[in-house]
Amino acid sequence: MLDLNAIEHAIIIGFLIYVVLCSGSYLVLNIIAFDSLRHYLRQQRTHETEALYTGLEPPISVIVPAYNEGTTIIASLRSILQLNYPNLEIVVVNDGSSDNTLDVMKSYFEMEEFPEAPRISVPCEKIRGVYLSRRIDGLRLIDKENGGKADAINAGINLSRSPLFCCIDADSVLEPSALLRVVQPFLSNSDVIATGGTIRVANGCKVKNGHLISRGLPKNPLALFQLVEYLRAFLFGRIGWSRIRGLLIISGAFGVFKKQAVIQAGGYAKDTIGEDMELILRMYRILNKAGIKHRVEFIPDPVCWTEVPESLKVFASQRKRWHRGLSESLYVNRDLMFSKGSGVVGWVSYPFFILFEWLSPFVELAGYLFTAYLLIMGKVSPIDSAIVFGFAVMLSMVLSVVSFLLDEITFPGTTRIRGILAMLFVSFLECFGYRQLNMLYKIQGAYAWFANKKHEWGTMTRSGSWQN
Amino acid sequence: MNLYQSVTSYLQDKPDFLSYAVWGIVVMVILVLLALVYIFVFRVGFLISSFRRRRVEAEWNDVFRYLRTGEEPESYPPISRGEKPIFLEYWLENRELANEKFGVMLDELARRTRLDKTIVQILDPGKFEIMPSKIWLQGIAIAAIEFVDTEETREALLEMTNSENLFLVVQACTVSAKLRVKGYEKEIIQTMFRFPSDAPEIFARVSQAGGSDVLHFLQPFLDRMPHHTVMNFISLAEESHDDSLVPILLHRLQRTQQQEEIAAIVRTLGQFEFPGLREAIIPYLEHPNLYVRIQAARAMGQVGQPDDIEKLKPLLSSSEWWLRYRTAQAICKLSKNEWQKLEALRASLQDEYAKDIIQHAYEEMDWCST
Repeated sequence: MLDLNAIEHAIIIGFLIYVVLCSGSYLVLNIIAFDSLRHYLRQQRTHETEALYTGLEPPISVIVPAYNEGTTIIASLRSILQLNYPNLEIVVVNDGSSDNTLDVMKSYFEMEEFPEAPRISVPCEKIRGVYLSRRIDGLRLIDKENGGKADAINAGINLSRSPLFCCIDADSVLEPSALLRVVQPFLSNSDVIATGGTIRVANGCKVKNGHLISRGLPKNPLALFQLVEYLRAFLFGRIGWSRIRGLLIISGAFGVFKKQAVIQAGGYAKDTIGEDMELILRMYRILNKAGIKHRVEFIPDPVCWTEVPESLKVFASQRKRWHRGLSESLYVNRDLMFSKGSGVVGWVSYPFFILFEWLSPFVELAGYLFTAYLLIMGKVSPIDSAIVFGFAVMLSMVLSVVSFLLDEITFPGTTRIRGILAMLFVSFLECFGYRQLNMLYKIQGAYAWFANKKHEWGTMTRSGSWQN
Repeated sequence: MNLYQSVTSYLQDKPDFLSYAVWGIVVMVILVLLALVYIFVFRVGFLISSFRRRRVEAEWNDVFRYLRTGEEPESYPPISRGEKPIFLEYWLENRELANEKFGVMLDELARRTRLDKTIVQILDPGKFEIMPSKIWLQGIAIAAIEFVDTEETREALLEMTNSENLFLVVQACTVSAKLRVKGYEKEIIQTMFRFPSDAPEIFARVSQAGGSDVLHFLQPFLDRMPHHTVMNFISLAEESHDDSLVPILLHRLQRTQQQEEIAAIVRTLGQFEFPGLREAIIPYLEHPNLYVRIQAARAMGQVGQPDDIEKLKPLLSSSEWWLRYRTAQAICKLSKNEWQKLEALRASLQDEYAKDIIQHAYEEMDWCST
C-alpha cells in the first residue's frame, strides 16, 4: 500500500528541485547578462558607431503593419522618420483597416498610386494598391486585404527593396540611433539572420513629433506591473540568452531580419498567434537542417517605446495570446529540440522554455493547490507556507532589483530614485495578485491551444495619451 | 528572546528545506538592500556633480557670452579648487564648438586660469583626487590637451598612454595622433599590441584623429589585423580621399576572403581615379555575394566606360531590387544620362523589372539634375 506521507514528501522534493533549477537558471542568466553588458558598454565607449560605418550600412526596409491605427499612425511614422540611418525605406502596410488609416496616410503624406509588380516570395492576401509619397522620399504604402499582422508583414517583405527589413509596430516609438546600433551585428558577422533591441514601456512617457520628450512611470497600476516585467525580460533575459547564442525571441515590436533567410523559412506564419517567436524557431530549424550558419543577436541599448495594455480585458487577451503563441511555436518546431547541430538553441534554450516558461504556470498552480491541501489537512502551519511563499517573493524581488541595476548601468540617471523605489514596491506587490492572474491567463492560453479554439484578437485600446 | 533566537527555535523541529528558505530570504533581503544602496550612492554622486555643474555654469555663463562676442568681461568669477574640474569640462564643451575668434578668447582664458596645471594635476591621481568618477574626469583632461598644448601637458599625455584603463589609453593615443606628439607612432603600436582584443576600436579612433598619416604607418600591420580593424581602415581610407592608399587597398583586395571587406574595398575604390581600377573591379560583378555585386555595380558607374554597359546588363534582371537599382544608376551614369541611348537599351531588354528599373533610375537622375 502506498504511503501518503512518502508521496507528499516526494511531491515537496519535486517542487523544490523545480524551484532550485528554475531560480538557478535565472541566476546564471543574470550573471551572464551582467558580464555581457559590461563587455558591451566597454566596447561602446571606444567605438564610434556612426563615424565608423558611414555609407557602408546595408539598406533597410522598415515594415510597419497597420490595422485600424488611424489615430496613431502619423505619430509613429514621424518617429520612424527621425531615425538616423542612411538607405532607409519605409513600407506601411494597411491591412484592410476598417477605420480611416488609409485616408489619413494618403492625405498627410500626399500618397499617390504607383503601380508596381510585386515579386511574391512569401504568401500574402491580395494587394489592392501601392502608393508612393510625394512628400517623403522612400515612404510607400501598401493597401491590401485583411489577413492579420503576419500576412501584412509578408506583403511588406514582398514589396520591400532592401536585403534587410525591420518590423516595427505602428504604435511604437524608436530612439533615433536605434537602427544604427541594431544593425551592427549584421556588419560584423555575415551569419547573423536577426537582431533585436530593448523594448520599454511608453505609458507615462511623453512623446512629441515622434520624439520622446520625457520619461515617466505609468499611473495605471497594471501598466506599472508590466513595466517591471519588461525590464526583467529585456535587461537580463534576452541579454543573457543572446550571449550564449540561445536567443529564441525577437520581439515583434522591434527586430531586424535578413530578408533572404526569412523567405527561405517561408515568411511569417499566418496560422500561428505568436508569429515573432515562431518565425525565429522556424528559421533556426530550417537553416539548421540546410546546414546554413546562422545566429540571432540582441543589442541592449537600442530602445523602442511601446504602449502596454491598461485594462484588464486587453491584458488578459494579450497574455492568453502570448502563451498560446508560445505553445504553438514550441509544438510546431519540436524537431528543433535535441536535434543534431542545433547547439545551445536545441539543447538548452528550447528545453528551458518548455520547462520554465511553458510549464511554469501549471507548476505554480499545482504548488498553490498542494499548499492549500497541506494547510487544510493540518500537515503544515500557515507560518511554514508563508516562509516558502516569502522565499518565492524575495526571489522575484532579487531578479527585479538586478534588472534595475542593469538599467542604471545601461541608462545612468534616467529613472528617478522615487521611481526605482516605486518599482521595487511594485515588484513586491506583483506576487499578490498580478502573478496569479498572469498564471491563470497563461493556463487559459495553453488550454485554448490544446483545445484548438479559434482565437479572437480582441482590440488593443490605445490611450495614445503619451503621443501628440 | 531576540528575533534570531525565536527563528532558530521555531525551525528546530522543522524540515531542513524550511531553514534553507528562511536563510535564503535573509540573504536575498541583504542583496536587495545592497543593490539599493549601490544605486543610491551612484545617484548621490550624480546629483552632487550636477549641482556643482549648475553653479559653475551660472557663474560663468555671462563671461562666456562676452567672450563669444570678442569682448573682455569686466571681471572673472573666482574658481575654487574643487570646482576646477567642472570648469574644465564646461570650458572644453565650449572650446570644441567655438569658432576661430571665440576659440582664441577661450585659449586666453585657459592660460589665465592655468588650466594646463589643472590638467596635469588631474592626470596625476596621487595629487588630485576630487571626484569619484576619476576616469571620466581624466578623459576630459586628456581631451582638453588638444587645446591646452604645453610641454607639460604633452608629457602627461604620453604617460597616460601607459595607463591600465583602455578608455584613457585610447583617448591619450587619439589626442597624441592629433597633435603629432613626438613618438606617438610607437605608443599607438604598443597600445594595439597591449590590448589585442580592442585593437579595432583603438585603431578606428586613432586613425580618425590622425588621418592618412596613421593609415600609412599602420599599413605593415594590416595583414595581421583582425577583420574589424581592416574594415575601419577601409572606411577611413575612403574618407581620406588619399590616392596613395589605393595600392594598399588593391593589395588587400587580392588577399582577403572576407566578403564584407571585399564589398567595402570595391566601394572605396570606386571613389578614386587611379589607373587599372576598372579592370580590378569588373570581375566582382559576378561575385557570389550580393553586397559585393551591389558595390561593384555602383563602382562601375564611377570608374567604368560606356563599353561596360554590356557587362552590367545581366545584373538588371537580378531578383534583388538594390542590385538592379545600383546597376541602373551605373548604366545611366555611363551613358551620360542620355535618354535616347537608354531608351534603345531599354527596348532591347526582355525583362520587365529591368525595363522598370532603368526608367526609375533615369527619372531619378533627371529629376536630381534639374
